[in-house]
Amino acid sequence: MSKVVGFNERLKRVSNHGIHLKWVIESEAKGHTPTVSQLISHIKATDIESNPDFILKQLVESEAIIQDANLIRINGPVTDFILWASDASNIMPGSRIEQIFSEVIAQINSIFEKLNQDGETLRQKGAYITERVRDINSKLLTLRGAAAENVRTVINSSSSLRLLKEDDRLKFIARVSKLWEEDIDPISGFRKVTSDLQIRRREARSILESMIYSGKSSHTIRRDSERILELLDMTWDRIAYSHDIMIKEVRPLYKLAQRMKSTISIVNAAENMINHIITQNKFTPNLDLSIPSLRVNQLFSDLSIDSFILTLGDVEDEAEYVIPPRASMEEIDTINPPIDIIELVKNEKFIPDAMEFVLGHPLTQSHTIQECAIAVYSRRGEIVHHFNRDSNKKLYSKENSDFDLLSRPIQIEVIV
Amino acid sequence: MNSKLIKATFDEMKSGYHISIGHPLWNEIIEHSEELIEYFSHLQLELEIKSDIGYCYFKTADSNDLIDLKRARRAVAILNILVLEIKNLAGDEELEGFLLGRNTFPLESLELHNTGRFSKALKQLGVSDKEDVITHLKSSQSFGFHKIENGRIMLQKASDRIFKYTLLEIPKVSEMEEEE
Repeated sequence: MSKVVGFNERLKRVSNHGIHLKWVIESEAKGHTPTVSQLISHIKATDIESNPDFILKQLVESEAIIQDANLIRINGPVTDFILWASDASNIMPGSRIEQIFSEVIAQINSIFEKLNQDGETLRQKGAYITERVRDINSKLLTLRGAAAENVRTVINSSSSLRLLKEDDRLKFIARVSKLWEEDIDPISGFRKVTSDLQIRRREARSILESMIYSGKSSHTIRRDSERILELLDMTWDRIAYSHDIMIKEVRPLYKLAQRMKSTISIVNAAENMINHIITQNKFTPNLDLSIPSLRVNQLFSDLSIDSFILTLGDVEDEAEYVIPPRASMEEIDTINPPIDIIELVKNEKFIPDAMEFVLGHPLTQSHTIQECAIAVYSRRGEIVHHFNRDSNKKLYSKENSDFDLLSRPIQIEVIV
Repeated sequence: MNSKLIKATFDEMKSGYHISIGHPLWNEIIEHSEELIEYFSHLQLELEIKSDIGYCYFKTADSNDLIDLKRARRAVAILNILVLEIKNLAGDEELEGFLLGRNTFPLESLELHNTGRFSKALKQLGVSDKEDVITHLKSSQSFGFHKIENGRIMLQKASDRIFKYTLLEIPKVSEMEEEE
């Protein structure tokens, strides 16, 4: 049975050993929960005349610190008090908040396991569970205290940070970046619906709900489960609320710091560029930036690209075309076969006017002028086309064709 | 997506111009970004749209189609030297405003050749005096990194490309010297 310590005695002990309590708080702020032996070593190191075991006992009895197996934790309100007294209240980092929540969830799971364990009476289980419940309450209280303290610290520090911006830009960037990246941003991470902590929190809620209605639970366990469930939700909401306020307060500063950082980088890079030009002058921005010149590959005229773009841009999908059945196969006999230009020019070396040659060839008499033009202008490996831009245009016509063709004569050279 | 948008986008950017937020075509380009990217890819043009920063441009992979090396060097170097000059003239906050495109500066007030280092670097690039600086600033408006209105210069969002390039691609002088 632990000794009951009254108000005056508690205050005295916190006052006498405040320096050690502050050390524990600072360790926790770094995301590290000190062990009993580490605290004892610390007490020995800072006060060689003292009796570390006695001091530890006094702090545990006064509930200023909680001994959880081999680990040491400070009671939430005592943390607030020490920070207030030291005038150095710090934000509890997001990673630490996440860690404490994880510990609470682990305790809830251990209570559930204990409750369902065989071989122990409900009374024996009750003692274990009461101890865990007490620890959970203390941790949740610490978190609620941290939520309030975080908001207070952020609001207080944001005005001093704004002043710092004018005096020391680098310090401003460092402080705001730390505040955002270490204290605020990790909370955004675990608040996400899909985060590991959120999933485990939902599981812990289900466990607590099942314990409230479980036949294995005593009246006390049911009542405690109900209370923890309520406190867990309340604490989570407080952390979320304080996080929202912190974001609202710090985001504009963080954006400002990012802009300032970017300006510093740009200035440094510009300085480096000048040195580079003076000493080396080897940079090739045209390759790295890949900015196009007037015409791509010199392949198309501007007009043809414009035409290509405009034509393709207006194309609309149409229903699938179904080839109608042919009424009679006789029609096929009247269709001209494609003209094979190679067959026509096989005995020639050079044809000065290819269009005239094809139009007058005996094998093309039943073909239209369009079919002849396709044969002339088609690219084939065995012939080379020549074309003189300065020559005059000539009109080609054919009796069986509705159209005439006006073009410059094209020459064909047979290379096989 | 209508063909007028395709044509207008192409006409505007085919010679290397960057379109920044605030340009009459910007909103339509953002609205049809995927279709435009797909469309221009068939013409061997990579349409890059930096919607988060607020600019877009064409890239080409063929080195035959790129802008002239000397012109690109001058454009990059003059903008960087301009940043340093404005920091010296007006301080960090004014410079931040300039980089964000909020502040403008009179061209006449920029005396880049008055600082030894700047002048040396500019001369290396063939920019011999103040008149040359102004001529180059005026002609390089065609890239869309900055614009000059009523004799005052302001940066466009696309200038982000130049500063990113300078930061990431120019080797650190000390590192190079060590290598040598």
